[in-house]
Amino acid sequence: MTILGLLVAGLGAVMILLAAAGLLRLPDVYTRSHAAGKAATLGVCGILLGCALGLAETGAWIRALVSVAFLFVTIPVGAQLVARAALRNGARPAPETYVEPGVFAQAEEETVRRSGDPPTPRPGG
Amino acid sequence: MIPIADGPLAIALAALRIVVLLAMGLALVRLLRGPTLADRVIALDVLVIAAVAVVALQAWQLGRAALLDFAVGVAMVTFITAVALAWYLEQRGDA
Repeated sequence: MTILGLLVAGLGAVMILLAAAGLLRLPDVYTRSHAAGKAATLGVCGILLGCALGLAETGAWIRALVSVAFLFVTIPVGAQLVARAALRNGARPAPETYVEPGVFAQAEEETVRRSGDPPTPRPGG
Repeated sequence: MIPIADGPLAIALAALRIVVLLAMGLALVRLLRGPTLADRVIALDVLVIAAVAVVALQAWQLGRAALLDFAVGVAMVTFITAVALAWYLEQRGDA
């Protein structure tokens, strides 16, 4: 049980490190939110399950499973909300990104409709 | 459960904690540098998640399942934080 728990927790720690590396290395806010939303979720869920395996108590299992269920639903939703806010504010993707024609026109139209004045073009970020 | 004071398991747990703390350092760099506010919000999210991971590892080492209550509480608070900050970003209207 302890060995299995260490294995799962180690996998989770590596996933969190990968998430942070992606956060630092990826070029724009959309790819960064992708890294944070998926890899970090897997990482923290792995560590929590590993701790439950290692502690091997009913209380630990209940707490770990409740928080894993909650984190698994909420972290990707939160990352998506932040990325959507960035899109509506006109954050540009990295230049090598393929963008469907009209996506940014739609986002900017929405910005104009909400604020009443045309958005100023911003440098990529 | 009794606390794990030393032995190979304590070393392994310390190594895991160091890996997660390294990840927190990388996220902190993005939090301080991140060109847009959305980058900082995402980095803050990762920092909080890594803090949950560190506390979970500490709970294992101390043999106290009650410390995992922190994970349950933060799991609920961090979602509200993300929603509130995303709402603020949209209202502010600046990338």
